[in-house]
Amino acid sequence: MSFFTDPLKYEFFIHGILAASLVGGICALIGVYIVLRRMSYIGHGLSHAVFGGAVVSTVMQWNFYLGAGAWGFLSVLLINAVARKKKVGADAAIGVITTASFAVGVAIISRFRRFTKSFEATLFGNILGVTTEDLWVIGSVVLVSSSLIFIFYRQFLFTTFDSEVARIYGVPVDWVERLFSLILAAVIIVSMQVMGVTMIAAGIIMPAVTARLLTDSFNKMVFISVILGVLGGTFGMYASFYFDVSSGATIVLVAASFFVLAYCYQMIRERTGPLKKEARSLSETETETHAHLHDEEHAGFYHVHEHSHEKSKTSETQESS
Amino acid sequence: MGYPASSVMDSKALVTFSKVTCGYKEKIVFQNLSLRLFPRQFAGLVGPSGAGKSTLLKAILGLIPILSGSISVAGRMVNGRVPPEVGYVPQIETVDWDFPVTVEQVVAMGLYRKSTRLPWLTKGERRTIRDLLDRLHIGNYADRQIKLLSGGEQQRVFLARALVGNPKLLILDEPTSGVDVKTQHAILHLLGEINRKGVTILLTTHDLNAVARHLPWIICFNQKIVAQGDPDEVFTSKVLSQTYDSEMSVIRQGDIMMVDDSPHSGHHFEKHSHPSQTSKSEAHKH
Repeated sequence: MSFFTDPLKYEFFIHGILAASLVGGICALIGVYIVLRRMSYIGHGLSHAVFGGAVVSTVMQWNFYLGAGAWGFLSVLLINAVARKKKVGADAAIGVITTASFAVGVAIISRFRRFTKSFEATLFGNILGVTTEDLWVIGSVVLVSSSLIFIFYRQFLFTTFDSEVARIYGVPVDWVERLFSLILAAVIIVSMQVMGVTMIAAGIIMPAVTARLLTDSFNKMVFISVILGVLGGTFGMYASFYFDVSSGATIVLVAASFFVLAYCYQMIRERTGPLKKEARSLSETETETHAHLHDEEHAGFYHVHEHSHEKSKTSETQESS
Repeated sequence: MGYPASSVMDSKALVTFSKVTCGYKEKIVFQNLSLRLFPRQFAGLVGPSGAGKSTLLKAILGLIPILSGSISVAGRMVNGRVPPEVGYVPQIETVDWDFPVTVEQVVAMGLYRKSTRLPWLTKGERRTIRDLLDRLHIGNYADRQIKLLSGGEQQRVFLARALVGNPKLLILDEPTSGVDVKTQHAILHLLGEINRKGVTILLTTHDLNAVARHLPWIICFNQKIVAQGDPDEVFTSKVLSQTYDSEMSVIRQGDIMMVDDSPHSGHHFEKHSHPSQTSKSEAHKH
């Protein structure tokens, strides 16, 4: 028991574990949307872009959170605008804008060479430096971001599933995309100190991908991802404390081990009780309805006649599987 | 089939294209297009790939800019705004089947305009969705992930999403592609049922024989309207060859008509002349 309680005697560890679990949870929550949009690279790219903003904020003596936040948000808007150019594409747009932004940061550091150490912490994560003020900022971003994602649950879900069709059904897609960009930028900025620029992407993606392996339900995916994110942050902090390794690395390694376990579980499940068989049986055992041509009058709304055709059932199920 | 074409043409148009030019900066897809769709009409838009069929649908949906002319739906101009009277079913191949979303969540998207916007579905919304799913005989699948359904059931889920908002106009992009022949007929038959309930339907398809059997009105389109009318009148070698820029044959045996829809192979078939091949259809010259 003392294994868990001993580190809690230190104030820096309490700050660190609070920050890591909060950051782990919120990164995992937005990770669900990032993974389902198949935009995993944006977390990686944006964290690098924000690094440029962080350096500029320090040099210009702006507030770190505001400066880096504005920089990150503008980077996402720029990525979205450039990605619309068919000849460029989203992946190339992310690559161009985020590496250019990162290069701005590196160029300024190599020019001034004054604050190399603090930026090393930004790159690789340093939980020791989490102050009470940082905790308030992290807590506020987590509260506001998760509240917005909850309040606009439908809008985020529909836009993520199919943005073009969501627009047709009246979802304000552009507005939702902008709001998401803002949340993403804010989450990345507050995660920088805990995870480090180089590790944030993994913190966003890994819990969500692991959750996806474990469920086919969106709501369960969100729940599992957040739980894994919080656990990854917590256990990662203990690992960081006991092995004296940077917190960003240990958090990501714990998340990676969750992924490996889920992957093995999925492999075993597929071999022992094939999912395909499950899918097939669902279509075969339930009332299979097929519409057929009839000359009769049809009563009721959208009435479809039911027939049992063994051959057609099989062929259609095969097609779906 | 849906409503007979003749019974719907005397009412005021639901969709009107007035000299519409649409396209993108690099390429104009169609120019000066004029077209009307009437309430309760059940029309199929056929033509080769790249003819502009999907662009025409997107123009009605307000998804692409109109370069000149105007489009109105239910008396209101479409100016980059999606008309609320429209339900849309995309190509089944474009759906991300691995997305962890249930049938009920998909259909709820179609209720968005009328919904409370709360994060959860209200009892009323859930009842509306479940009733519709029951009527489409997929009520048992409401909580199921969409990938776990058969092709026909999946198509009905997306049809339910389009219908749940009670649209006046239903637009379907290739509803018969990616499913077997039996399911094709089932879908077209179901659409006929929906049309008879008063919903105007416009769909695109490559399955000429299927639409010839099920649809009362065909629009042959290749960047312009080549011809439109009853399939018996429109589906002639001349019109189809003109539409597809390639020789195509129509075989008629009594009441049965079959289109040889593989271009360039017309010489394999004996062509039967038919009085309607002189085309009583509404031919358009642009």
